[in-house]
Amino acid sequence: MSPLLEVKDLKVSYYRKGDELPALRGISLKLHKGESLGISGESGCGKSTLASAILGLIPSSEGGVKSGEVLFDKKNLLKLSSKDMRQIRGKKISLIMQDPYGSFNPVIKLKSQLLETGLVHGMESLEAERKISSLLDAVQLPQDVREAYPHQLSGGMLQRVSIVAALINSPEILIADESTSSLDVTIQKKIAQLLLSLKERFALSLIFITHNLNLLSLMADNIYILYAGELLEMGPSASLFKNPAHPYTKGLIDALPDIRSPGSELRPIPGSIPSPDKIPQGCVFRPRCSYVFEKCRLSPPLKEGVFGHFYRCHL
Amino acid sequence: MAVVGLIVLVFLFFVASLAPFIARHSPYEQNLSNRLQPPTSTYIMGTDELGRDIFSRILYGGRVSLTVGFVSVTIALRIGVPLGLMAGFWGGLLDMFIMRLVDIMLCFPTIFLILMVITFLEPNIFNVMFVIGLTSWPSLTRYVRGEVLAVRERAFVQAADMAGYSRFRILMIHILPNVTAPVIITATLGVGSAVLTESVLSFLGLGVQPPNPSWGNILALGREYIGQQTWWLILYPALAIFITVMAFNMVGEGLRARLDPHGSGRDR
Ligand SMILES: Nc1ncnc2c1ncn2[C@@H]1O[C@H](COP(=O)(O)OP(=O)(O)O)[C@@H](O)[C@H]1O
Ligand SMILES: [Mg+2]
Repeated sequence: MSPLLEVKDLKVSYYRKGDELPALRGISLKLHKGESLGISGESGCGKSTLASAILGLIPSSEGGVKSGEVLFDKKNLLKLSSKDMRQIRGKKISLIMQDPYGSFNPVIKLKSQLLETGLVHGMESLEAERKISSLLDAVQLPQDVREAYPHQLSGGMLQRVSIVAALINSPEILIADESTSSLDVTIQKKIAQLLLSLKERFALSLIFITHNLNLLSLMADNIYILYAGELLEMGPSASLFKNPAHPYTKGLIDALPDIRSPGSELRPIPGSIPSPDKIPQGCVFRPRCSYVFEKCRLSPPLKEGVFGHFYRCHL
Repeated sequence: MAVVGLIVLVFLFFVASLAPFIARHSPYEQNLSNRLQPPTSTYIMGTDELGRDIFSRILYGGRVSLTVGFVSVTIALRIGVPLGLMAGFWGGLLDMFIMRLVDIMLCFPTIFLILMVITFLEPNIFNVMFVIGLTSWPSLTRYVRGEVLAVRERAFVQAADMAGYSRFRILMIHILPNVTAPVIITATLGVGSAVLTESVLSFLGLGVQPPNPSWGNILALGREYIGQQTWWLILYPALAIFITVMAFNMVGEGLRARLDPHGSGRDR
């Protein structure tokens, strides 16, 4: 079966003061219909850049796609006109942002904002009203939140409203970029589970972006680990958690708070992610890796270990 | 303060619009046997050199001043707001072109520009309104553009982009409502300054032409009698101008404090 969405060797750079900052350096991924795909990695590794590039929203004043393809529905989205691309955004591929308060206009009632999102894609207002009301049920919100202004709702409730906004036009793909990260831990889990149930109910395919690997263990069928704009490891969720092949993934998993013994000491990976203007030669993770050896001066290729489980390491 | 200003403005509108019912004498009616009378119970602000009732002339002059104020600000809004929206939202060459024009207009001393234009055209109330309107849009354009640039960066605009809204829709739905507050503030202050400009022009004989009354030309008549104890010729028109301009400024500043606590509508 061919994938619903395929990203091929995508390279994206930002430009600052004449310098080119490579934020994505050849990312490939495949999203199949009905799949829940997780993308993780420390902050600054390029997750949001990837989401923006898929939607064709890298601001041309700040950067641009250098090469690669984003294939959806047999079309390369990167080649579409901005008018055609608007027919994709919010209609075929929707995105939920991190900060629910930021993603709504503070001075307009939620009802009008939701309605407008349906109308821009050619819905009749009656049809949109009906859709909103059924979606509010689906995300377990009372109908009267329509009459509210954004600041009158809690973060968790408002994030559910953004889910309604994202689903109004019955998209095929839903991208959630750190959509739970600003919320309480318990609410994070609830929203994540809600997204999973909506995925089943509306036959969605999900790209779930988070730096929180714990959540992905619940959410994702396949997980992609990004580091400094590169894919370091990718594989089925169970396999990746049980047998992480890359020292970076191992480090991330070791650094997770242990659910069974709360209060135990955290072991973060020493050092920090390199910024795009200081990408190391050879293996990008080399300066922080405790297994480093001679060969790491050369860039490792992406290798397949167990079936469907890839990693980029000489070990 | 703002409330005081507002009450004064409401009162002024009321009085100006009901002028024919309030005035006991025609503003044009001359009575040479009664010239230069100090205030009495029949002529509560006295009479001028032609024996006309100054109170009536000030009432009717108020209609002129307020009309000029509002019409010229409306003209400025019609030009300034769209230009500011376009410059801020589309940016690029268009932005550069518009902002250069704004810079040129702003560094040109407006009053001289107005004087020049009016001396070439006929000095009358319509030309005054047009010229004030045509010269007072640049600061509006600049505010609106700044506001658009700030709003454009906000996450809900990106969210609208991600949901597939067209540029124009984003402009109308998200940007325009967010620039209304500074626009209202600037417009209110603008009416006050337009009233003042009109008075100056009429005072110089380049605005409303006698016998039509305007605060500026009433004041101009009084100038010839300075030093002759005819204080009412100067005091009342001057007070009318002063109170009106103050009231608009007070309301404008009050709105700023309420609607725009960050001061984004402030002159930059
Ligand atoms: N508009 C921008 N201009 C310049 N650099 C940017 C811009 N946006 C992101 N970056 C840089 O690109 C890298 C990836 O950023 P991002 O995709 O936001 O990471 P993540 O979402 O994984 O935290 C970071 O180093 C960040 O500093
Ligand atoms: Mg991010």
